[in-house]
Amino acid sequence: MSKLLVVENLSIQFGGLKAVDAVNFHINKSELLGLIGPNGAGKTTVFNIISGFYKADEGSINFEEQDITPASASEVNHHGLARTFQNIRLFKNLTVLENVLVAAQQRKHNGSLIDWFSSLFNTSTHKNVEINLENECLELLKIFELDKFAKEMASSLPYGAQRKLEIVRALATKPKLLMLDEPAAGMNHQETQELNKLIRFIKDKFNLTILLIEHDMKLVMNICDRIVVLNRGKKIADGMPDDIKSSAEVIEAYLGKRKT
Amino acid sequence: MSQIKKYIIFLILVSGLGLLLNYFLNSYIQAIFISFIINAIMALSLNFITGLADQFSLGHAGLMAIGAYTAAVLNKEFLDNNWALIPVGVLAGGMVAAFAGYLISLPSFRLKGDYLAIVTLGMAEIVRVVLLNWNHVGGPRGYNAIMKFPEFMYSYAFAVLLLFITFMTMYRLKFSWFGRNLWAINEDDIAAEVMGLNVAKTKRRAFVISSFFAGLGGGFYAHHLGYISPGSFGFIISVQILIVAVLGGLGSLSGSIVAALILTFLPEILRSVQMGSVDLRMIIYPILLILMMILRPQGLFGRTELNLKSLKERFSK
Amino acid sequence: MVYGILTMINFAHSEIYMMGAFAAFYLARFAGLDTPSPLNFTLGILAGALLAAIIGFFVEMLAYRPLRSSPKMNVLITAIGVSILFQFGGQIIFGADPKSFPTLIEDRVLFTLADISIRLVDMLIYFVSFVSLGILSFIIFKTQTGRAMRAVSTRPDMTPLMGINNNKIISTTFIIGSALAGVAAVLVSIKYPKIDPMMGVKIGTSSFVAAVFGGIGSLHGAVIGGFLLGLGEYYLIGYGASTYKDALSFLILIGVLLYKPTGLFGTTRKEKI
Repeated sequence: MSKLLVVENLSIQFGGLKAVDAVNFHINKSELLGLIGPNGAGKTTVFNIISGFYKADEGSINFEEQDITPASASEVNHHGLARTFQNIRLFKNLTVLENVLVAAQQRKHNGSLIDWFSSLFNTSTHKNVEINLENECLELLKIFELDKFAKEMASSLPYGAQRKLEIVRALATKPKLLMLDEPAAGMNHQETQELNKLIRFIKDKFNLTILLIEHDMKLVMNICDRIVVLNRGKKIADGMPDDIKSSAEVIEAYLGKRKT
Repeated sequence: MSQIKKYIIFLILVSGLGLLLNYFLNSYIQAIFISFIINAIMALSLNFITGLADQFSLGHAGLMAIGAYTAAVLNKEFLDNNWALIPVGVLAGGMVAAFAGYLISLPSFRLKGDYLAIVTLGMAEIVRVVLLNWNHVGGPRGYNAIMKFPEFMYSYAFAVLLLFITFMTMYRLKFSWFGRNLWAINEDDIAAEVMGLNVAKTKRRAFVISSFFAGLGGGFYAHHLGYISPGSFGFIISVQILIVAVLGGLGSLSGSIVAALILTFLPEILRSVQMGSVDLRMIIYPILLILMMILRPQGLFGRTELNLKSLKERFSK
Repeated sequence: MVYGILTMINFAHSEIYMMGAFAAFYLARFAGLDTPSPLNFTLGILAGALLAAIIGFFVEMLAYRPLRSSPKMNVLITAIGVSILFQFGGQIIFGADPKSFPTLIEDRVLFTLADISIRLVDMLIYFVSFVSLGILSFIIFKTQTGRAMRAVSTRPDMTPLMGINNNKIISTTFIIGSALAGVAAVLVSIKYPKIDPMMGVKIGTSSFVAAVFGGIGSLHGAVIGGFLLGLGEYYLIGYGASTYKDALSFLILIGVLLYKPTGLFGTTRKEKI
């Protein structure tokens, strides 16, 4: 089993607070790793560092044996990591199709001179590229039964569909590692079940490795191959769901010390 | 209607207008028309960066100045005042302005916030001060005896060509992947970045394009008036261009052209009516700007283009 | 200060400054205060501050408040509109030629220190500036209102939930900022008695540059920034490059922004992702 992502000794400080403190973990290829911990443990911060929005003060991030620590957010995506956000960040005033198009077109349109030339003169090559791109996106949307909403404004979709769309959009960038930030937030029991199925489905269909931040323990225990637990910026546990469930430190982190 | 037919109709209309202006209307109106075209080009260039890319630039007068002086000096000193080579100078003006835009864009888009506004403002000021002190190009007295087109028809044809190129380029870009990228950045630049879109690079490109056309406008302006000075490119000019872009709708290309039409011709019509001691336009424009921002910030067309089909539908009801 | 709290560039601020000077000018004329005396000096300062504050209040209420929830660019555009309106409106109402500000206090050389004569007016300017800054610091850091202002500047979405009336706080900030501008205006007018409707423009850009240079959100930074900038400008004049003076502030600004986007002492506000 090869390690797809290796995070070593990651630390970052905001003002006087060490939000992430010497965190180490790795994800194996095709694994579904859960990142959990009480609020403020630093999970989203870790996400933000990996995805290139924050620069760590110390430590390194390796993806497919390449050092991506200094990479910017867009570069990180080009390496093959995609992420979603805790509060959905869709392009509200664009249609569902356009949301996906923006993601998909990043790999096709690199801004070379030929690219500019053909868009300015609307050559037939350009038209073809556009049509193919659109079809690709519609196909992707169809898999998730969102194609019927293709021409609707993204903001008009119901909450669950919006969450799905965000994931679809991330998938359009053809990632190898997908990072999901609390995808079950705001979902009821049934929606969470469906999300469970969705995540398993995309993992298989798109051959993904997944890093998941979640608070819904049922979902986490059910779906994750392995779990990393953070508390106050430090890693306090790393193992299989059953071990984590019964780990004293983890329980203490969430519930506080047992009164003896 | 096929593309070819559209172009032919356009050509006929434009030629007709040209003939009308040349043979039936006096030189005063001719000059105003050319002014309108220049204003439209400038408004379009500002609209591209401020409307489509949502980056506030206050320095377009500076870019215009760069284009103007480049074209004028080139034509006078290197091209022997040859009017047939005016387009070469104007093109050079655009390229130099684009280069200046490139230099400015390098640091500016790393910064978040309204910094571009200040940086462009600063740039325009620096340009003005440099020109003021550069005696070779006339300093405060300005640069004069710039070659003009000998006949109105030449001027007209070139003007229309410039406007056409400006509009078509921006139109194509707006409705292509580049335009989509710009829109995505407007909506949520963080989400855009995560999708692999290099936001800073895209904004820089948009600014360079915008600067190029501002330079073209400036270059043509120099050959239209025959005289330029640092004073004609002050902050007020940047504001005037802004007003046109805002009135038409930030993000609407055809809106800029319509607004330029209105704001070039209307004051001329009113000129006979008003009693401007201090140019009353300087009072009316800011009031217009403030009222628009409060009451109708999207201007005439918002982000949409003038759509002949929907107009037809509206009138046939 | 206004910029730090509202994260908005108030282009019209320098025009409020200008209005402060003119307001004091007309008031002085009206009240017949043209004989220099310490009393008149104080009255002049207070008048400038008060009138500027009133004008600032109305500008905020009429032009900026309706746009509170609009995109930032709209507010900026409006600010530019207000700024130009005042400049040219001033030209129409006051006349474009400069007026002579009354001498509200007689300038004397207080004493000489190794070839440099220390003048009363300069000392007064320093004194009033320090006092004003002291009052401002006190308000911002030691009073409830000041705390509220700082809160609104960081999380305006949360402050109403804490019982803070955003509108009132923002108006207050504007009033204080404008009052300070008025004080500055009167001080400057006493030292350089020629006033005209366009006097705000040059000061405006310099002061904004000083503020950003010193760091957004840092009061002390603004002071130090202003000081350094002023020094720099006079340095240039000394070297005979005075026509480049205006461009200097922008060059410095661009340079600073390149290396330290938040200014010398500024505080970074990390956007929550």
